[in-house]
Amino acid sequence: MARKPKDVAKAAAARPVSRLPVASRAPEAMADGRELRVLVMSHADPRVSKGGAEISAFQMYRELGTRPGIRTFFISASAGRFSERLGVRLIQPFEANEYVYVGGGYDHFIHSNPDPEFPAEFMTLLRDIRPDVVHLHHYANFGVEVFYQIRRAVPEARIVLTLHEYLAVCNHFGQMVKKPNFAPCYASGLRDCARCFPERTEQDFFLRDLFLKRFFRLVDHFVSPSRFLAERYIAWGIEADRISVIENGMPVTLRAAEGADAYEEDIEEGLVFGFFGQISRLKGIAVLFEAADLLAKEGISNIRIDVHGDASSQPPEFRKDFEERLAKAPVNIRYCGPYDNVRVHGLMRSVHAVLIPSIWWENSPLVIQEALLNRRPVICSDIGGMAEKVRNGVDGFHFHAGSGWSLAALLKRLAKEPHRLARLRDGLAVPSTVTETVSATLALYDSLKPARRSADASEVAPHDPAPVAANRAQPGVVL
Amino acid sequence: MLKKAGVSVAPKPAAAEHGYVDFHGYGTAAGGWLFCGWSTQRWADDLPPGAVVAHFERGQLSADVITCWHDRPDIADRGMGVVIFLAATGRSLGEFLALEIATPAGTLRIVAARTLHHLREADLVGRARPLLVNGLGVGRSRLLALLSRQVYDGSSTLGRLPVPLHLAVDETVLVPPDGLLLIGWFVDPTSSVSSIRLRSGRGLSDPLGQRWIRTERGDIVEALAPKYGAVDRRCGFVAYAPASVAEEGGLYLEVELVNGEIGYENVPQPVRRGLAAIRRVLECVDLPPDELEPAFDKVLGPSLVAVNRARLTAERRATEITFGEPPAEPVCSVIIPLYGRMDFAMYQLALLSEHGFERHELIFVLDDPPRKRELLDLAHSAYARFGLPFRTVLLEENLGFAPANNVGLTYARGEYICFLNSDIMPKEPRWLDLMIEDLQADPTLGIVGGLLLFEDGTVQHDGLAFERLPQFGNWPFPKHPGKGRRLQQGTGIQRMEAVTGACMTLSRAVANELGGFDEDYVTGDFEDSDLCLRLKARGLGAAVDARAVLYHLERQSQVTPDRRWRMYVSLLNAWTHTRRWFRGASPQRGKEGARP
Repeated sequence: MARKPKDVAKAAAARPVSRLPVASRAPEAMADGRELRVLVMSHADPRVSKGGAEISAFQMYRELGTRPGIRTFFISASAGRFSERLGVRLIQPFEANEYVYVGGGYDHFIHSNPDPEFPAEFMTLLRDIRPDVVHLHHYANFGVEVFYQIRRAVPEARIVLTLHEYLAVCNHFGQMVKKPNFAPCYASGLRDCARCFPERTEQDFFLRDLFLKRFFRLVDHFVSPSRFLAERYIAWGIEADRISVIENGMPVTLRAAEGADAYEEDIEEGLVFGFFGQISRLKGIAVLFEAADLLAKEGISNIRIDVHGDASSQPPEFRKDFEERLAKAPVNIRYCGPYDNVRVHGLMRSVHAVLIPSIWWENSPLVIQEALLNRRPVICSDIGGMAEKVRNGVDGFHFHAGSGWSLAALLKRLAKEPHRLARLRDGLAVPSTVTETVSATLALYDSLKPARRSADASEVAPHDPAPVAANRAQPGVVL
Repeated sequence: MLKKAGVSVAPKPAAAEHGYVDFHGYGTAAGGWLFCGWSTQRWADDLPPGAVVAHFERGQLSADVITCWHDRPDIADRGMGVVIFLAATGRSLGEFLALEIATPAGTLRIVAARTLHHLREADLVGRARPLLVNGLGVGRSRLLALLSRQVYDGSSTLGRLPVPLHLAVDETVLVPPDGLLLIGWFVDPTSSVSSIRLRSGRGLSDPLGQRWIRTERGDIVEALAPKYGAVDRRCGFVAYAPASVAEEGGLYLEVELVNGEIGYENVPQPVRRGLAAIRRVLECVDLPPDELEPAFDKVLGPSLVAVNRARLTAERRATEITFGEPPAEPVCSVIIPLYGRMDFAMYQLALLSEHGFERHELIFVLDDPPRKRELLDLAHSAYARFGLPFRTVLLEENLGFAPANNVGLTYARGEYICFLNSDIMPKEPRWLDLMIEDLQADPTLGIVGGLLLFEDGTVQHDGLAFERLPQFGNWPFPKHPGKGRRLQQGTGIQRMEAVTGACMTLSRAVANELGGFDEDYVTGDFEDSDLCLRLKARGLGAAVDARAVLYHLERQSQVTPDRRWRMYVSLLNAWTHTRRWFRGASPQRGKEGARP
């Protein structure tokens, strides 16, 4: 069953208009026959960095480029991974229409980029490129001021921002878990945020909020890969009708996978559950060890947990803790080491179900899509993006987030009745493809222009983007 | 000056003259002038102060007098020898001419002998002492005691006095032009001291006890209690000796005992100046409410205001650096002093850039010179990012809130001025235009403030009203009605007694006529209220426009020992403010418009 992107529940309630038409209605060129010029921006470059956001951004850029009548450009931020060229900020290590911004000094607290050389060079490039749409994945490394620079340089361009994580809402790496105990956090607030960060004051967080929202007001539309993340941003202050949910689909070419299928063996013999991804505290590694211990103590021997992933970029205290746990771990859990992403499908097919025990909310974890693609049910925490993307009893099963006991109990039940897992395979959701994502996104671009113009005329409220819009009617005027 | 030597031959007195002075001079140790000669008439020994006037070429002096008579065989029955002591300062008034002595029987004139000798102190005492030894009357022993005093030779002599006594001056502060604040401690277990005075050159101050604040000195109590039992905790002092420092000569204290004996104590030279000196003084003060007013009237107020004024007399050097092209004829110049946190300016520029600010100019005044580099880097980056032009005025010295704003005023070009704190952030875009429209619409309105909110939306400022605080001398303080509460649905424009200087708009012409903020207020408070009261004195009102809404982060003062002296700076300002506006029937100020 394909999951069609649609409006956020709250937005839909307020405005029962489907903002996102079906893919076939998406325009593949401007109405006047002129080409559509789209600039995709990513906080990092997937050719040197393997995060989900940059991979999604780049896939979208590539897919857009295959559509007739669309001219694409890509700008990523170096994030220290490209060497600088003296005196310039935008370099082209790859293709003619691909740029990398090299510059430093980023302020991670207010997501601001104080680099004084970047704005002028960036705005000159924008005037050369003349994009109709600037679609940003993330704003980190460029700084939220880029929205203003885009507005100043190309006032007619529509600005679309795809959100990843809860960065603007939460200063704790956008994870919305408390410090120092990593308890789940339900909403940001000056007092609560200052309690997590005693070195900052409530006033610092207030300024942070003012600053981020001042620039977020310039974004024409937000895209969230999950409903859950969209709702968190709406609670934070983005108007519900300015945000849509569009899943980051995967490239179709990845659908083929090779290797033996675990389900071809006799699942009555026992079940293998696999963990895939970053081995970190937030990914819930401790929950796995806890569950494995409980199962071992109960003498249950027909369950095994395979941990695939990398802990090398984690803080030293975490790595030490991980190694200690491994040394003491029972035989039912084993560490299989890091893997290259091209092997992920084969590895997933070697397990009966994929475990996602994250203790933070997640957004739309790529590993869910990979599991579904490989027709593996997902056993995940019952919160946030995981609970949204994995329907309990349909795409997999939920357990109580953070509870090794809850996970152990679930696994024990499944080992008793392994066919409960096997039965799910026929009804698993089919993850969306990047083709679908791009079609929905193009429809969004198309819907923005008229919507924005009509809004410009009617709304005059404090902190309304009206003055900016007025300026847009006179191209070339710089605010 | 020693006149040419000669033998004193007693001439016959002329008709209007009742005697002659043969020699005279100034006794520094004794602390007065000594005149030795003879008189045809003897007067009573208990003349009131001022009964004797000494006439010199360039003036006269009159003071307490001690007289001592003695036999003069050379004069035989024509008169008696006399030694007259006037307890006065030793400043030079030129040649001595005559003494006039007002007696119940009439005024007598004792004139300088033709061969008058002006003697140095040692010779003077040497020649006078034998006369006194043979003298008569009550003045004899007092004068002998005075002449037996040691001259200050640069070392403390208190230890040689026959009573236990401790007096130390830890530090002094020069109160320009010629006053001195003394900080120290004083323990007199047997109550033997009658007065302590400051000597400088030939000058002698009034007794310091007249302008004396007691301060706590736990360290002294701890050190001396074993010796004396109980020692008054408030044995420390801050004393003020106005108009007492001579241009030349060292400083020392003269301690006089009840029995007339004196001792000396050293006084360190003043070193600290300006704010450092003000802080040093206020750090040792902690006064109960009933002592506030006299302490400020007599000691702290006049001295520290003078120290602060002297601090601000230096030329104000500043550099202007402009980013972008601000309008040549702005409607309003927004003046923002920067001290401490520079990043507030970045936030202001980011937020003000949202709705355009083309009609107005922004002037940031850096009042924190060590942060120049930080500000310029930030300014460069902020202009590149936000494109909003602005001017920076970089002071070379930290001046404080009022002077920094006043410097900004001299750079301003707008028809209006908005004094704005750096921790104010706009909540809605029309705040400044609204305040200007208010001023344009009502010519009886002199100044408009904004509705300022805390970050949680509660009121920070909705106008100022004065409230007398009994815990602080019952002086009126500007209070913020409604502060910390949800807004009581105030809308539109509301007249108030005053508005905060954190955000206030007025015509530049008026601001210039008033000379900006009054700089007698030290480091940032009360000058806003003072400005509003000066406008009121001209018939111009103050108001808050509740539609002009901004956030005020109101920096939290750190809870450190720092706080108390800052509170006393506020009290100093409150004292100035109260004397100007809330005392007696004439609240008019003398120095309006004059600006150093």
